[in-house]
Amino acid sequence: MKKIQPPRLADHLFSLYCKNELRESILGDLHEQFYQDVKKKGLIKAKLIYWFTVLKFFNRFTTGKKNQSSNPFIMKSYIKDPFRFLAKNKTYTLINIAGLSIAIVSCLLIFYFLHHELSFDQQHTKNIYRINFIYADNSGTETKMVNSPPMLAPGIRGNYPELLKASQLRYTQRSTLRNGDKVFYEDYGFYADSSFLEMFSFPAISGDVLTALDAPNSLVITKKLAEKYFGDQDPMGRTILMNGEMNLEVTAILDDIPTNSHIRFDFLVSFSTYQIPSGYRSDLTSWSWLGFLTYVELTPEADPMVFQGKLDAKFVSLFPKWNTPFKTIVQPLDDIYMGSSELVDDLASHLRMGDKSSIYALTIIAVLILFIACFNLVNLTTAISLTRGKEIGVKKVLGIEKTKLISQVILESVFIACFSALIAYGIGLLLFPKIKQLLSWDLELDYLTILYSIPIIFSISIAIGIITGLYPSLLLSNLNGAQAIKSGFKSSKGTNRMSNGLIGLQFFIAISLITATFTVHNQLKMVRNASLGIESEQVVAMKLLPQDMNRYFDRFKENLSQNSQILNVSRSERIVGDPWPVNSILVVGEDPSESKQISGNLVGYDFLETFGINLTQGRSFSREIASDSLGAIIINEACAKFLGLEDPIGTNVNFFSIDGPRTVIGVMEDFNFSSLHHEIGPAVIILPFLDFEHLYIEVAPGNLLSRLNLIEEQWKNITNGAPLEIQLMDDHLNRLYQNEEKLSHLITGFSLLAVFLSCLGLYGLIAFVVNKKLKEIGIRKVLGASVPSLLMLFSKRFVLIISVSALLAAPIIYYIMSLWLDGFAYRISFNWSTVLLAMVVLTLISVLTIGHQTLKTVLQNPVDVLRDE
Amino acid sequence: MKKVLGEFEELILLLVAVQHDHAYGLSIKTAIEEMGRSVNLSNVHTTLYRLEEKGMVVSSMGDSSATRGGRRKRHFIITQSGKIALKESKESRLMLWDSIPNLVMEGI
Repeated sequence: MKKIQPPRLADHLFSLYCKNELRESILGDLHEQFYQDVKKKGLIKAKLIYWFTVLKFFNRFTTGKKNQSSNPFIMKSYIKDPFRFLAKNKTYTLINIAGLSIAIVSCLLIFYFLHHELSFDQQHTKNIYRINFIYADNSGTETKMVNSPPMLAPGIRGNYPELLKASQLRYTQRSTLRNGDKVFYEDYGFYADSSFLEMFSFPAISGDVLTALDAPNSLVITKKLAEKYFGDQDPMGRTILMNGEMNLEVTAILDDIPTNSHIRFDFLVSFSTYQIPSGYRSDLTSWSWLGFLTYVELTPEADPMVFQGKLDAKFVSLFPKWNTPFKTIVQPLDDIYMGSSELVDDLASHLRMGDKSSIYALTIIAVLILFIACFNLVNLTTAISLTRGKEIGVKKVLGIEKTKLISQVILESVFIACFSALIAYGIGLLLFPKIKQLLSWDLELDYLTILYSIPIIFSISIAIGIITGLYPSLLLSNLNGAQAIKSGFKSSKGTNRMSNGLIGLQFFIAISLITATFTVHNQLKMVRNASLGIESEQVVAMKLLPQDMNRYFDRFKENLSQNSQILNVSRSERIVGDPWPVNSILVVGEDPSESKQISGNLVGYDFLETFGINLTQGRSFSREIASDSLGAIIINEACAKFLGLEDPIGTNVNFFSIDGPRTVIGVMEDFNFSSLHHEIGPAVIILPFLDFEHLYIEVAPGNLLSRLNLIEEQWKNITNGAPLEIQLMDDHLNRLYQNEEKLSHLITGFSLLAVFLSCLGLYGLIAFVVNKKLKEIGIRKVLGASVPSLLMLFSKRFVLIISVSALLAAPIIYYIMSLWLDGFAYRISFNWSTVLLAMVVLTLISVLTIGHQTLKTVLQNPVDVLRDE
Repeated sequence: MKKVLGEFEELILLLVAVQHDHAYGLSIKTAIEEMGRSVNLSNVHTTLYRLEEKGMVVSSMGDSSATRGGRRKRHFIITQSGKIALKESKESRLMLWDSIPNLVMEGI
């Protein structure tokens, strides 16, 4: 049996704090009481009482601390000393504050960005889910889409016990809204019914949101649109003309939709107003047309996975003949913004999608920058300690306590850090609009966010102060007082190794960031200059409303064609550069299970000519052959290969979305119809009769501006001043690399910061080193050392450190950049010379920094420094 | 300055006087608990040290026993000033008792 005895740990704890004189007698009492308690109350209770009593014994009698007689005179000096020290060493203070405040500004801005990114869709009820769809072609390739069929919401409503609400949205294509003479294009609108506003909490300014979308031809607008179209007047009950043909009555006004909502809209039209565009084969009873967004609200206790299983089962029963039926993903609302990167959105750009990798990248960068600034602080504080031997020595001799000395040094760094944070707030708020613009951040800064950040930033600052002050303070407090006064504080191997290590880490970070900058830059240059296989330099693109296109296209084209500056005019449904819609294709006569998924675009005549796409076989669409618009299809080489066609011309294929079989009349060279993130896929083009949105004009080489003016003039003549949106095709294509462009700006900015901060620290450090070695330099000069050899003396150490950090950084940055480059189908290979280049650049900058500091001293007359001895 | 005794201090001091020569932390705690009042050992000790600080008791190391793991006891003895303080305290109470009108305490 185990011997019954008091808890050992408690005894240890007690012995730890209790002073010697009392320990024996109290412990004796404790033990005696324990054995009495065991008899009376049982072992467990006795142990508990023992512990409790040990803890309660902790007081001034047992710890032996006397009531400290605080001398107000000395107390004052504890507070005053750090300030005095900082004021005396202005370079030190300034360099540290400058470095830290720059670092904190970066952190602050990144904090605001992260705070915004992580705050998406928080204002709504919990338990809202979006129903996404997965469809697989016969090869098993799955495509995940955010879109769902129109029958889903009405079809499931009321049929499942866990389902509370179901609502669907259909995007309005780009539309014009008109009130009197105010007419604008609006991109962000949805058809929705009242259940949408019931489910989501978008606060209303006026009108009843629960009924606002019940009647057909109702319109709910945001405050922004209300001001845009009605100014100071009250829009309630007024009418707005949509697309020049539909009168809508304003039934409610919503507060502006916050930028942290993944659903982006400026207006909602009642769903009952929605009409399927003519030419679509599907209608609203379709269970397979993935062209809507469906949101559901489930009961709090419902398991979304179970609900998902029920939906999947429903689709199996709906389409029993399908080999690969639709599968659903029931995605929780708070996951939608960040967790949708794998999902395709057919409603191009209506929904905001977050980017996890940029969040990681930013967080890492913020921490790195902060590290660099902290290393500066540690290094400089250590270096300046060398000059404080006398001060510390005198204090020690006068009997200062070790803890007081430590807290003094820590207080200095804490003060520097907090002061930097203060400055950082000023700079941050000043810079925010600029940064926001530069990085096209879609966010507003509200006072609540600023308020939130204050405790976080200041606790980080205080932590920085304490951590960075710790090492130098321990160093100083361990000095031997008398020795310190006599011979000052000598740098030891340990301190040198420490500062070498920290400088090395700084350069490691700086080299990595510079290399990343070069690599991102090179890749973007390659992408921009790479041939897509189309000639886009001379092409101007216009985006029109489909009905405007129908109304004006022929006349516009005719007028333009008369001018020699215009070479070709064509149009298409989807713009070149955006992903084309995917549909199934099947060679006539083959088994339906052989059908394959393929990207297709609807184009007008002269499309291939306008973009300079060559045909390898067959012919282009021709106006002379009437059957072309109904029965012809042009495929690319990749598609011929994909379908396994040896001699494609004349083959009949069924292209799912359009009635009837089509005959292949031509094979075009492969060209990249979307961005270089993707490989060239199989694609087809067909000639339909409607649904065009994009108009392309190829202009003759020469003065682009005059040609744009000509186009604008012709457009105005024909349309009596309909709005015009025109862009160069190249500009549009460049926009595909927007994210990378942003990343490139960001990394460039931060690597500049990293280099700047590292050099700032170097500058400060060198100042102290040189100062310490004034006499050494003097003696060397007297003995005949040359200026370059003296510069070498100081630079040698840092050049060595830079080389070592470059060697260490190279494999890591190679790995990270390879990961990033893998996101492109067409990528440069990692160039090792960029590491070398980064190293050379950094070495040059550091040598310049060192040179600036040392040259001054080296050029001094040695007599000046040596004569006082 | 005249040293004032708190209620708990007075109780402890009384017990130190009662258990003359044998008073130590645990014995006083046990005595208090026998009076039907529960108290933590640490409070008793702390009060004893406070009384020692005020000069009303003195302590010395005494005997030990097996249940104490051989550790000696700290015995407390009341000092002259402790006795005076107790006496003064008792007298002031008595004075108050005497001035209670008879009819107030009638019937108990």
